[in-house]
Amino acid sequence: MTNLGAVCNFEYANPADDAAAAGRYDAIYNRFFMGGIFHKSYPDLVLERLEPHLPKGWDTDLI
Amino acid sequence: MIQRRHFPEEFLFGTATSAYQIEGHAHGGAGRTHWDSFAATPGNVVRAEHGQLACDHYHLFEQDLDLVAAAGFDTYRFSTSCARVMPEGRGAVNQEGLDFYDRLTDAMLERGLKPAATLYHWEMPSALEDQGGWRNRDIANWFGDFTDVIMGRIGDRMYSVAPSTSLGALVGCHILKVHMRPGCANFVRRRVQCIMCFAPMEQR
Repeated sequence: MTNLGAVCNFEYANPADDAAAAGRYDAIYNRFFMGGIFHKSYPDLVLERLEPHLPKGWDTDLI
Repeated sequence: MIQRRHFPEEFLFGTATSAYQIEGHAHGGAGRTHWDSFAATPGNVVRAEHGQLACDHYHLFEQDLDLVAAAGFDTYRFSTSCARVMPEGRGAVNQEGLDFYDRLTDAMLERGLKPAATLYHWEMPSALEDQGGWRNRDIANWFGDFTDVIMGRIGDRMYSVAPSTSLGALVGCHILKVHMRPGCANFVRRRVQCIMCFAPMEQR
């Protein structure tokens, strides 16, 4: 089989007053997945807050 | 009005379903999914409704696909329920389940529909959910084994295959909200652990 893909659902966040929060939302909701699939890494904005919660050995998943 | 001719010639129109929502999981020797367990627990679902019969697609799939073809679609995305193929999520294979997806595939091809498979559209075998489901990192391998079995049977005729539907919604709505109960463990940790299972699975 060659035609393999992923089905992702993205959301766009319009900041009401805090653009940084919208960027974090984009990182956690959208780029978390895209990073793993296409770049073998997770966005810095995600790791900044969530790294302490990642399971042991997570950084060897994507090698 | 927007018409089909306004789209590029190679543009494919499709429609999609998911196994548990339409098939009727009481039929064909399927094992329990977490939806069956959830629905069987008093107080979880309005009027105690469940997916035992659903749209009875298990028996009516030919008529259903007639409708898809008559509507003019090029592709049809469907999901393969792991519990229908491997009732315990791992190990023994239910041949009736494989036969069903085999018939379903041929019925699509007979109608000129391109089969687009989704390996997981939120139908987790209860046996795997009991071991943590997406929160258990072994699931990447469990689903890999299921993928070998189901695609060993129908993979030769698939137009496309995707491991899971709507990854973000899956983690956000399905795993967390459905199972969120008073006393449930750390929300953030659960979400992150689930996402951590997807990346290796998507790569396998």
